Amino acid sequence: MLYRLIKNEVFKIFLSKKIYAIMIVMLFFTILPKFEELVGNIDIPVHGQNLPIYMLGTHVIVIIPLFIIVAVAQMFTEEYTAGTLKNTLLHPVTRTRLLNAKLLGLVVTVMALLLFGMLIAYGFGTLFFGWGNSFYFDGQYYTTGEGFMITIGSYLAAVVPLMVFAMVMMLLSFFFTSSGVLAGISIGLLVLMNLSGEMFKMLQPYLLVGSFRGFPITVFVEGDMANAGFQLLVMAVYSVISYGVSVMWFKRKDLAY
Amino acid sequence: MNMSKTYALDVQDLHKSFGDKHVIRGVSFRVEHGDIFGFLGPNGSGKTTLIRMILNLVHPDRGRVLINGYDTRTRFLQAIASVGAVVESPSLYLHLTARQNLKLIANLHPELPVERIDEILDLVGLSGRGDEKVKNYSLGMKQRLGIAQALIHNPNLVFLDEPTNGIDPQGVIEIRELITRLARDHGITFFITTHQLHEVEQICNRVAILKNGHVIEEGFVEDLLNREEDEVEVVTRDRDRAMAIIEKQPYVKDVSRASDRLKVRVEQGTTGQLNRELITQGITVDYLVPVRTTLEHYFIERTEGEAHAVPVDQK
Ligand SMILES: Nc1ncnc2c1ncn2[C@@H]1O[C@H](COP(=O)(O)OP(=O)(O)OP(=O)(O)O)[C@@H](O)[C@H]1O
Ligand SMILES: [Mg+2]
Repeated sequence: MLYRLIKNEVFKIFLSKKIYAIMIVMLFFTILPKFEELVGNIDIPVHGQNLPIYMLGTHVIVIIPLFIIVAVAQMFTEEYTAGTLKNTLLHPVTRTRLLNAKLLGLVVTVMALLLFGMLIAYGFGTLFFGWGNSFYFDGQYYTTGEGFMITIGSYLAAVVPLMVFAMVMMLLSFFFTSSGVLAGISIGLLVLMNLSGEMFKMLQPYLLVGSFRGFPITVFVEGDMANAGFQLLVMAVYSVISYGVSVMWFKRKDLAY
Repeated sequence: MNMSKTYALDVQDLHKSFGDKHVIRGVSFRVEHGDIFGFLGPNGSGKTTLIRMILNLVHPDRGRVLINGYDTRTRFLQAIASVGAVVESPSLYLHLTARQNLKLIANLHPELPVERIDEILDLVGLSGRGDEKVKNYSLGMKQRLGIAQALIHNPNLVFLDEPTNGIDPQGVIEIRELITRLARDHGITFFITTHQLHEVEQICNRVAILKNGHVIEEGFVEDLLNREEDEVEVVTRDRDRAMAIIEKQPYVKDVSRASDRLKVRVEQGTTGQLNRELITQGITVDYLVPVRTTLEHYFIERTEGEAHAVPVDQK
């Protein structure tokens, strides 16, 4: 049953226009380096094999979190007020399972978006700048094989902090009956967390937003496992609280729409 | 299961408050397999809230619900498995087509054959419109799609919250026929809330009336209609004298004044006797109008509280 519920969630996401809008935005940012090159202000060697790792930050710091906000507003807040959330609950499905299915549906979608982002970066990077001889990133040269490992590993690892973020959004969504207000507040929160991370460096490790790009890079580029472990711990705290409170809240909630 | 009889629906002493508003105050009733159970009540009396409580969408403060013998608190998945429902107005994904909306539900029931979607669209009269986006549907079409959603997985107990709301007269007849046919041929039990009292008269075999959070009447529709009394309205200018005469008759149960007439309830078959009596005593009776006891009448009488307190306009 869980599998079928997930399928339904993914089906709904791909039948709405939002996901395609996000993909167009990802595409736009991916071809942007070509224009930067034309006006002559790219100062690092960009090629097909390392464009994806450079694009990772753009995708996971801004674009995909925005998608998550919009998707959560849609699948929780909007479905609640439209009454469609209860449709599923009139069949043999527990409330907890429905929440899980929605989160897992989001995992599938976010992974699809990351895969899309990675593939278009490989494609357009090679088209515009050639494949390149080796993998350059952050002042270091790696072999092409190592480059693949770093890139694919980082894209996969990026799913973890993004899903923790989705759980925080899910919790937040229960406090609003307007998806517009929820999206506005969430975007504000996202900006605020990024800003306070910039202003107060000591806060940064606890803010989650730093891990969107930070966690994959820590694991697959820096290889700093102590730091990675610490970030995992922070994320675990965020997710246990968000998920736990969400489930308890949702199980007891009177569905009034 | 144990030896005791199971009902399609057994509601026991449900209570619910929202804040300090005590909306449902101890509601109990039973629905037998095969019933078409009509649930009547004025606006805001708690009909929709009660359906939500039965389906565990709203948690009761107190009380118990058994569906086909399964307690909805402890065996919810078994209880809900055989239920279909439209609560309030149909909840639909507006940016999807009717077929896609139904697919989302059919996906939860892998045993359903793929043709089931066409079959159910046909059943509710939407075949040919299944690939249109629901946001372009009329109110009545949405209502039909809602009913399709409630029926697609072959439930044996179906809750319909004002099912003919927004449907044109032809459609109303179709929906009523659909309900009676499904009840008769497939043994589906229906629980229907409605404001259309004649709807209850026409299709329901049992009825309950909800008022101020209580069930004030429950029974067979036939019994409620076959009361052992007649009601007549006596139109005359000589109301004071007529009133005095009528009150003295042993077969008169009740008399009250309305603007230009008197409303009289008498024992069954004594209307003619009353008429003769008035004429004998020299009262000019302009009209004597028999009032047919419809459920509507009965309902208004029962839900209005003091039904006989009618203002008198004497000269
Ligand atoms: N979630 C809620 N919070 C507060 N009050 C509620 C809630 N749901 C229902 N009520 C109140 O409960 C009462 C019953 O509402 P309900 O919708 O059940 O009535 P109804 O009999 O279905 O009315 P109608 O015939 O208009 O559909 C109303 O006074 C309503 O305001
Ligand atoms: Mg209602």
